[in-house]
This record gives sequence, structure tokens and C-alpha cells, in this order.
Amino acid sequence: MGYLFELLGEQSVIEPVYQEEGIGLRVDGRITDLDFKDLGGGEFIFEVEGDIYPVRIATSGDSVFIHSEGESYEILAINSLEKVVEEARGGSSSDSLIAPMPGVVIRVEKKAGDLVKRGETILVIESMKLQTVVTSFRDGLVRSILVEEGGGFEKGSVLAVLASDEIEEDQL
Amino acid sequence: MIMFAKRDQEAAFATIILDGLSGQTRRVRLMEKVLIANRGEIAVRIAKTLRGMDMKSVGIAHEYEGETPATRCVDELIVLRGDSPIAAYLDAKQILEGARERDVDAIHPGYGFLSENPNFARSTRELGMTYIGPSPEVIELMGDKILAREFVSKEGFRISPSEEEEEDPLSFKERSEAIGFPLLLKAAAGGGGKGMHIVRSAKDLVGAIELAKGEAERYFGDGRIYAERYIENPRHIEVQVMADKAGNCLHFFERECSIQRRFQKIVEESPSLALDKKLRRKICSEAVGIAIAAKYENAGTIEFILAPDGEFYFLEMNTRLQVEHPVTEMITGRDLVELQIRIARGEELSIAQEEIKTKGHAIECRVYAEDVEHDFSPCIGRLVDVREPVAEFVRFDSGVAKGSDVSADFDPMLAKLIVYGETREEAISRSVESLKQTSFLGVNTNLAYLSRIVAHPAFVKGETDTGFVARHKLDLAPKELSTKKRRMLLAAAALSNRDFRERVEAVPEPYASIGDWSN
Amino acid sequence: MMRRIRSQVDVRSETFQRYRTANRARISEFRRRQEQARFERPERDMERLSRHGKLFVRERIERLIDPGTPFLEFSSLAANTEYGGESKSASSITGIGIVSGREVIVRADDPTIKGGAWYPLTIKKIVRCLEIAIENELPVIHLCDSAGGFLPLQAELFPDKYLAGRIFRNQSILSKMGCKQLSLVFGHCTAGGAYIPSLSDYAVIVRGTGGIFLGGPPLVKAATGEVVDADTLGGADVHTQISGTADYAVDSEVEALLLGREIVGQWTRGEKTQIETRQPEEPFYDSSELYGIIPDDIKTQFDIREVVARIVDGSYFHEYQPDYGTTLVAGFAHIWGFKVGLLGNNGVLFNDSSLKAAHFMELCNQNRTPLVFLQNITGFMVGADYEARGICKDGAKMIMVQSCSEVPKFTVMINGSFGAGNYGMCGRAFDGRFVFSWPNHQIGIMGAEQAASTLVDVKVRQLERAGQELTDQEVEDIKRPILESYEKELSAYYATSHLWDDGIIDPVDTRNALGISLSASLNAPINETTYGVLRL
Repeated sequence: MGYLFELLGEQSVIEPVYQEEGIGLRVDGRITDLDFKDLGGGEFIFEVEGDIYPVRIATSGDSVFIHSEGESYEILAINSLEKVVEEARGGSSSDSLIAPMPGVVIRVEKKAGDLVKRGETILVIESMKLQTVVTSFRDGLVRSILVEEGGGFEKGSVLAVLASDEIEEDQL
Repeated sequence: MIMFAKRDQEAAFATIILDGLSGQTRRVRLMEKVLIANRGEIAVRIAKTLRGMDMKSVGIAHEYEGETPATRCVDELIVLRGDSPIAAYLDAKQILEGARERDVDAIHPGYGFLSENPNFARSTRELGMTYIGPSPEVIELMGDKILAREFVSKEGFRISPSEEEEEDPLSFKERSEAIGFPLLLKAAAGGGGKGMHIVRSAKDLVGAIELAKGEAERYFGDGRIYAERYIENPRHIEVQVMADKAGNCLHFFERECSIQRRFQKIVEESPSLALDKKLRRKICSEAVGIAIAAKYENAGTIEFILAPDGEFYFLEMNTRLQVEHPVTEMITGRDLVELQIRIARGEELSIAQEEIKTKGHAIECRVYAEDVEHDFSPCIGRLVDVREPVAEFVRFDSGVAKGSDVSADFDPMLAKLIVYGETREEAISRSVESLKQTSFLGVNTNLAYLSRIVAHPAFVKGETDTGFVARHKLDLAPKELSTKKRRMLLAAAALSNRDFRERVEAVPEPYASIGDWSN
Repeated sequence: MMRRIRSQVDVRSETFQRYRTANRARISEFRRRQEQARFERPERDMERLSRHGKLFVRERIERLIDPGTPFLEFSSLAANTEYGGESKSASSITGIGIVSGREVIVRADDPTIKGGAWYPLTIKKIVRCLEIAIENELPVIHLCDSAGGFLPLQAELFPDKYLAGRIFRNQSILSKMGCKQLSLVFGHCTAGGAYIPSLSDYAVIVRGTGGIFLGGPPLVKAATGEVVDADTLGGADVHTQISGTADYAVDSEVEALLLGREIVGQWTRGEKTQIETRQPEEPFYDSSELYGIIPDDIKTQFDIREVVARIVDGSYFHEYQPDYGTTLVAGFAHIWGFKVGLLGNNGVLFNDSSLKAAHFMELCNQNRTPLVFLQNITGFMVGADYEARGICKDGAKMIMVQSCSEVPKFTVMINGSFGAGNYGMCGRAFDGRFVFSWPNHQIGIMGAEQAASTLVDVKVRQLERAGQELTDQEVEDIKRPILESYEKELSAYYATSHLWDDGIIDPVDTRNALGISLSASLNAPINETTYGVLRL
């Protein structure tokens, strides 16, 4: 099974093709003939199927950012296991941040209508004298925060809800 | 040119020899340390001039912000506290307290934030500091769109036909209809495109009034609105003026800012192709007239709507430095911030209008962190890599650097690219080249969109008006990615992804060399 | 460093073409049978598989191993001649592959054949695969989905030393040796099968379909009257939350496989045994030319060097004692960069060829050079002259040195393996790490003709003592059943069916199979070689 990458909302499978000289890649089932030169400082020259692309590349976490021909692209490396787990737990609850344990809310950092990046702190909870940061599991918009600072909650309660799609984002 | 400055005993004034040759002197306010009540690119830009004038700069930043180019380029920094970063920048009391503690002589407000807040200007003065900008009274007058229009109209300048709701709310609908459609409903206290509604027919008017009033209340805490004639596809022309205490007022020619999205300018240029010599003279002298009438002081901008038929109407006056001021600087060779400071400390404008000349053509492109494909909605994230354009005739005013967090707390403008050319064509081609060279990685930006605008045949021909972006929507949309390029991007990404590389390189020999084989 | 073999084969010759046609036919027959074993399943079973949201066993393996990497499958045609052919690949897949960069043994049940029930040959295949793990110190990943022992044949799979119990014994020994085991429980692990995850270091179980129990619901009901469903009895949540028999509960097979990959990624990679290596290179001579070298008739002689030239790196070969004992060719070469000592047959083994083999193997042991045997042997030379010269004694030296060798040994049965030649050249009984056969290969105590003639001869002598003679018809009646049964039992398919080897391979795959085998073998240390008492 290959490795998943997402570009412009579409996922692609990339598999290594081991060759005598380095590694080739199979992208979406097609062997991609490629070569590259590292110019240093994040600048590369990629040669793909005969075309030359000077690019600038930077990475951050699971994202790879590429600037090419005046356009910038973000390619997200998807951990297949994480994706499968998310899909399995998914469905209607996928927009909700669920309390992993009972506790009290220490701090609410976002409010309804805020844009959040995946991994950004939404609120901080405390349980058994241990503070836990509750972060957004994806990029999106906070639809509602269902708890207040100082308030308590049970395991499994919904702490916050993200807006489910872009339509909602537009409305706000 | 300042040759010599000597501090007086009372320390509030200094004698400055203005002209080294004649030895002419004048007592002016001492200004050694200036607080920049702003952030981002404009703070950096102001600090640059202060450094050039041998003045100390004091910056402000909210405690959550961390290091930014703006905090790095100042001599001192006041760290503000507050519930939110934006609230801190609007917290006049805290900023003024900090300014006093640091023994600041003057405050430059930049644009946005407190730059058009008359109370801030007033308090600054009351605390014995110089406010680099106009008087609180003018800020107050021009800050109220309705009062401003009334004033300008009373002074005999042209404004587009309009009606205020407040005058007589019951007849507002009828009065508005009398102006004729299409109409533009605006908030009296508005700005930045918020709370504006275009109404094309009588049946939509009542609903739009309700909506506009509600928004005005929500956004500006002031529910007053007015209706004005909406001019289809107008050009947005503004004139830069500069006036001193002595009543000298000069204009620095026009800027055309017709390329807008969401009622916000994104590409500005000067000179405007829409003005011939005569019209330019007319519009510029009208701007100077308005400034003089208002007893204006320091830098200001008078905005006009230029209809396709050549008629123009006063739109509003901005009582501060504009975002797009570098366009003027580039073609006039004048440092507007330096002039602001000199005027603020009491110097007179010693040049004549005729001495202000323009040369060549300048274009500014505003780089925003936004998603052009989703209605230009702001984007946030961390800039993991920044490449600024490096070329002759290219100025890049940026408020961010590698590692900067672009948050939803502030305006999403990251930087401005200002390009000069002997001709407009040259400025365009240099702009396109520089935009392609520039890269901000980590956050979506409108860089590619800007280069599509500037390279667009209609832009090249000078067919610019405020409807440009909507009219050329399809042309300006990103072209679909070819499958080949998609493969290149994915391949490059995979090879740059540490996890992928580690997994792929973990395969030992001879397995890797044998590859995809089974018996 | 070595001279290249100069091939004498004329690829345009009529003989080459004829052989190639014959061998290509053999290969397509082999591939046909393999395809059948791999993919032909009763529709009912495939339907049930998809109804339960399960993946086909081969898909499970494909998703488990690292993309773009090889998989060396063992005994793909195990059990092909038994049980009416229904236990495809002996209902189980075993092989070596790469998971998260680690060299591992994969062992998978096949639930599309009688619910994954273990036939006697399934047991033999599993036991052998765990033996490979033990000998080569490899971790094992079990993909569990089996109904347990095939009850109608219990006597053939349960009681003896190398039957079912040996699986669990081997699992325990592996654990003692420090070889990790991971079980991914996709289906039921019933009865003995329950010990597979229980004896593993890590166990992942799929909710809904996975189950681990000593007695399944029907057996529980019969034994104690307790009525309980499979999930309550031994489902994922029971074992991961209450009993602790399994470690991770997952919601799907894909999740189990991905989690399994992550678990394997946590295993420490040990240092491998170092031997002489060089940068690998393809053989100078195209390996597909092997098809034109192996004769269409087993009795036709061919030069083993031509085979060597198409297996080893760069076709380089340092031949040892080129002029002594010439029916045995010995020498050094590299396979996928690994230095090996090769022994191949160019005819019957004489006294000198046996001594040469013994001497060469001693050198390899001292050199820590793994041994590769290319078997094409009719046996040791017989006759009064040879007995007088001590052919038994010399053959014994070869067998003793070969048996006591501590370097890893690999055997490829390339054409024929008859009589004591099989012993000298490291037949199955001699603990070679891996034994592979080519589809044309024949193996037996002697050829069919010789066996039939020998038996006729015995009968003739019995009758002679009674003053009788055999008619031609009687000779024919004795010969025919012998020829028939030999024809069947000498075949590579029969041999592989009974796990006498680790699988039939296409000759062109020999280099890769040996490369992976060599790499795998180096996970175990090479001990110092000591010998028994040689009859000199």
C-alpha cells in the first residue's frame, strides 16, 4: 500500500519504486520519471518527465509547501492509520471535540466564529490535577463552544463543535 | 536638511539650523524619540525613516505576538497586555502610559488602529507629546462620513448626490429613491468596505436599509447610515496632500486604486491613465482646496470617485498616511513619513508645488494572506519560508518574516510590493516578474492572483475600474493544474517529507534493489 | 577480482531453441498452477469474505508489506497434489518480506478455504515457516483467521512431534530467542489457534470479526451448556479491556494492518552477521537464457557453469580445483553482493569429486562463506572399482563436512536429485536454510527406470531359485505400477506438495530468491564449525 498525500483537496497515492540508481516514485499508479538538484536554501530544480521546474520548498509538520512558477501549493502528508481511525470514529460526531475524561475548563482560547488551524488550541481542561490542551483536529471554523471557563464536564461530553462545511463559513 | 540641533534647557524645544548655508534657524519641537503606535509593515517602514533621521524609535507589541520584523527594527519595545492583541493596539490609555514612561516625544499612528481616533490624537497632545498627524478636530470631521460630505459640499466641492437617514428617517426611503438607482448604502462611521450595500431597485431598498443599519450598529456602534448615488464601474482616484501649520498645502499627485476586492484596494498605481493633464490639475487642486478649507495639517488623502464620463465626486478624506503611499514616494522621490515628521515638529514646507514632479510609473501590489478561491477569506498559519524579491526598482515593505504567525487577530495584509518603471509597461513587467519571484510558504496568499491581475490584458491596457475583479473573475481564477505538474508537486513533496523518506529509506538491501518482485 | 565465466552457449542453436520451448511450457504450467493456488476460490467463500468486510489474504499481505518491496513466498504449491487439491497453498501463505523496514516472516491463514481450517500439510507448512524463523532469527507476523484443525484429519495433524503442538513450541522458542511476534487477529483463533496470538508479543484484534477462544460457542455449549455469542466469548473488547489476551482493538482490517506496521516499526533492528560482500550487479549473461540451457530430457548432461553464469553477480566465478574431480564444480561467486561458495554437479560423484567438495566446504566454513548447492545429481559412482577405492568412505566425508557446516546453506534443486547424491549436496534432511526447486526437477531414491528394473531383477532372481522365469507380460505388470507411481512422486509438484522444499521457483527468480534467503540467514550468527570423526 502506498503513502497518501493531499493536494488541492484531492488525495494521491505515492509509492516508492526502488531502482538501481536511487528511488523513483509511482504517483497515482504512474511511474514518474524524476530527477532533482538541490541548490541549497530550499531551492531545487526538479525534472519530471522531461520538464524542468525550479521550485522552492519548505516543510512544516505534515505539510510540504512548494512555490513553483509564481504559485504556491500545500501538500499534506496523510498518516493512513490516523485517517482510517478518524474515518472509523467519524460520522456525525466528527465535528465535535469530545472530553477525553471528566474535568473542569481552565481556559477557553477560541470563540464561535474563530478560524482555527488543525492542532490549534481551542481550550484547556484540567483533570486529576493535570492540564490538557484540547486542540482542533482539522482546519476550520469554530461553530460553538459549549463549556465555560471554570465549568465542569463529564467524560464524553461535547466541549466544542467545529463548523461542518464551507457553506457555514460563508454565512458567518 | 538638518545640520545641527541643540537642546534647550526646558528640553521641549530645540533650535535647529534648517539651512546650513544661510544659517537660518527656527525653534521647532524637539523630537528625539518617536513611538510607533502600530505594527507590521508600516511600523517597519516608519522606523526606517526614523533611523534615517537619527531618531530613536519605540515600538509596541502584544505579549502573545513574539518577535516580528516590527519588534526587531525598533530601539525600544513596549509590551502591551490585554485580552486580545487587537484590543491592545486599540488601548490608547495603555499605549500613552507606555509612551510617557519611555519619555517619548512624539507618536506616529501609522494607518488603521488608532490612526483616525481623534481622542487618541487629543490625549497625545494633552500629555505633552507631538501627534504626527492632523488635529483632532479634522480627524473628527473627516472621520464622520456624513459630516465630511456636508462640509465639503458646503465649501462648494462636488459630492455625489446623497441623502442621510438621520435627517428624517421616515422619508429616507423616498429621498433615497429620488437620488435614483443604483444606490449605495453606507455607514456614517464606516470604512474598510464594511456595511456597504448596493441597491439596484426600489423593491430591495427597505430590506437593504435594515441590513445596513444593523451592520453599522454591529461593526461601528453607530447605526447612522446614508445613501448615495452608486456610480457603476467608477475609477477610484485619490490625491495625496501635505499641509503644514503655516497653512501651506501641497499635493503629491494622484493614485489610482480601482483594483479592489471586497471594497478593499489590492493594486494601486500612479499616475492614473484616466487623467489627462487638465483633469489631473483639476482634481489635484480640488483636493488641495478641500484640505485648505478643512485647515488640514500633515499628510492626508482625498478620495474621489471618477465616473466614466470624467465627472468626479468627493468620496472621503483619510486623515493619515495611506497604505499605498509608497507609490507616490516612488514617482516623486519624496519620503512622505519624513515630511510628516518635519511638519509635526513645526517645520514649514519649503518647496513649491512646481518643485514636486513625477517621474515614471509605480505600481503597488498588496500581498494578503487569503484564499482567493473562497471569496478572499483570510488565511492563517505560520510562514515557514519567505523569499522577498530582490531587484532594482523594486521596493518590498513587509511586516512578516520566516517563522511569523499569521493569525486572525490582525488584518491579513503581509507585505506590499512597489515597483517602479520608466513606463507603465516596464512597471507592469517588473511587477509580474517580482510577484513570481516572491514566495510566502505556509499560508495561502494572493501573490499568484496579483500577478494574474497585473498581467491581464485589460489591466495592461489601463481598463481599470472598481468592477475589474468581478468582470474578469474567470480569467483571474487559477488555471487548472496539469496532471504532470501535479505529479511533480506530489513527487517533490514526498521526497521532502521526512516521514516518507524515512519509511522509504528504511528498506534494507538487497530488498530495495530487488524492488517490487515476487516469486 | 574474479574472472567472468565465458559462456559457450549458442543462443541461436537449434538445441537452445528446443530447450527454451520446452522450459517455457514448463514455466507456464507452473504459473498456471500457482495462479490457481493463489486466486481460485469457491465463490461462496469469497462472498462470505466480502460480506464480513474482510480482505482476501493476499491483499492483507500486500497492504502489510512496505510498498515497492519484494515478497519471497514459500511453498506456493504446498498440498497441490493432496486433499483433492482443495487446500490451495496448504491453506496458508508464508514468506519473507519487509514491514516498516524490518525483515520479517509473514504467516497468514486463508479463511476462504474451509474457514481457514488447518490440514495436516497446513501444519507442516506453519511449522516449517516457524523453523525458518528460528534458524534465521526472524520476527514473525501472524495474520490469524482460522477455524482451527481440520477435524476429519485430526490423527495426521495433532499428535506427533512435528504436528500442531510444534507450532506453539516453535513460537515459544522464538520468543525465548528474542524474536518478536505480532498477531493480527482478523477472524477466529479457535482452540489451538488461540495460542498464536496468546504466544505473540503483540496482538491486534479486529472488532466484530476477530475472536480468540479456546472453545468456540458450539463447543462451549456442548461442554457446559453455556450459550454465548462469539463476541462476548472472545471478541476484541473482551480481550483488550478485560482479559488482556490482546493489546489493541481496531475497527477494520485496514486499521489492523496499518497499526501492525506501526508496531513493527517499534522493533529494534539487530546487527546482522557480517560476511564478505561487494556492490551487487546483474549477471553478465541474461538469466532468461537458463530456459535454453536446461535440457528437455532429464538424462541429457549440461554444464553447470552455464547456470552459475546466469545466477551470480556479473557472472564472475572463481573456480576452485578446476582440473580435479571435475564432475563437481566448486568456486566462489557473489549473489546480490553476498560472497558465496557454490557447489554444482557436472555428472556423478566420484572419489575425487567427493573429496574436492569436502575440502571446499571446509574452506568455506573457515572463511565464513555461505554455501549454495545447485543439485543435478544422479548419485555417487557405483561398481567394484569404486567400492575398492572407498567411494562410501569418501562420500561419507562429503556428507560429514556438509552436515557439520555452520555457515548457512542454500540448495536449489535445478534438474535431478537422486540417491546419496542428495545427501552430499545438502538435501532437505541436512538443515539447509532454504531449499528451492525448479519446475523441471525430479527427486527420488533413484530414477523410475532404475527402480522398475531393480524390482524386476529381484523378482527374476527369486523365480530363478524356484526354476521359473518371468514372461514379458509379467515383467510389464511389475514395471508399470512402479513407473506410474515414480512418475508422480518424482515430480517437483509432488515434492513441493509435501513440503520437501520451500517452494518451486521460476529459474529466472533464483538469484532474487537466493539474495533474500542469504540476507535473511544473516540475522543468525555463524558459529565456529567443528566436525565429527572423519573416516580418512
